[in-house]
Amino acid sequence: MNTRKLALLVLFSSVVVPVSKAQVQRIEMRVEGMTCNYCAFGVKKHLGRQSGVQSVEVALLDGKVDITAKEDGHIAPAQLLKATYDSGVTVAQMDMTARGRIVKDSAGNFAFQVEPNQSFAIAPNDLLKSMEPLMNSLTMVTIYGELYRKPAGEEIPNLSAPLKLLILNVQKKE
Amino acid sequence: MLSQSLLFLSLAVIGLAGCNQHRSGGPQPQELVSAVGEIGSRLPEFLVKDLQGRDISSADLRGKVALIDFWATWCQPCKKEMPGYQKLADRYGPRGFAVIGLKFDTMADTEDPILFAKRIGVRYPLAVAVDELKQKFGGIEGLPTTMLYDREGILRKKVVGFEYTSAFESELTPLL
Repeated sequence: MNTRKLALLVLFSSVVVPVSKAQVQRIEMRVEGMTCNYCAFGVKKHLGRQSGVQSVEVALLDGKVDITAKEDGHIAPAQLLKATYDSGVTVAQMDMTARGRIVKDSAGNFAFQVEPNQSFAIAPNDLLKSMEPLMNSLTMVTIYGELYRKPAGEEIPNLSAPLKLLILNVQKKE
Repeated sequence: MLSQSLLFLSLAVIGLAGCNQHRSGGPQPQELVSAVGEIGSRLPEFLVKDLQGRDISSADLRGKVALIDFWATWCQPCKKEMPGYQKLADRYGPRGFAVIGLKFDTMADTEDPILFAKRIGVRYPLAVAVDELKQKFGGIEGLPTTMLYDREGILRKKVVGFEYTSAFESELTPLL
């Protein structure tokens, strides 16, 4: 590679602004059973060891756990849900912020596709109707939605059931 | 110029050789020591009474692979982990593996700790972790905290928060 090409490459790489990729960006959980600071710290450390996790913030008094994904990482909400239960804490609710596309499968069901191999079935609501023009388009959306709510009366919920996304808010359309 | 450089080089070599002789003949420089409770640190000396009043000592662990688990009756992740450690104790105890549980008493127990242990099937020795003992292990920030020492008493793995039994099993078996 000659000097001119090298200089152009350096110039090019310095001006390209990285485009944020489609991914699960953040998981927020409301948990029960975090009884003390020592336990909260233990939960934070356990979740921090899960794949794709950049940071975990735990608020003991509010019973909240806030997980941020690595910028180029892949986090699986179902895995985080299981890991949280494994750590002895009950998840009352799990919300997600993610960037992806809204797609419709051949059966006519809506899904939020984050990556080719990661998508979430969408639970219908009024907000979804207003998003129909976005379906199967190339438009990327950043959404905030509820992924899991502990079923009432179930002591040990079925964690292998697929998570269904209830879109609560569209934060950004691109 | 060249002769001056050669003279300097010769003096430097002689000087270094002299230093080397001094080091080998005199006291050895202090080895790099890991901070207490960090990977590479030594199992601290301790002597405590277990929940039944029997002595538990670090001397009992000499030559064994030892897992020290800090827990509490009010710690849900601890309750999840402990039966797994009992399984490891049952499986690898005959090959020189031992588990000791050290109970936090910073909050009131949610139930009698002996009954708690019986209810979850734990039979390995359990004692109370007083502050002095916690400090000997470098201080405990979170629960559970689990430490795995090799037969030489060197800390090989430390996990704060829940960990799967399999993770400790894969770490301990090469040490047996």
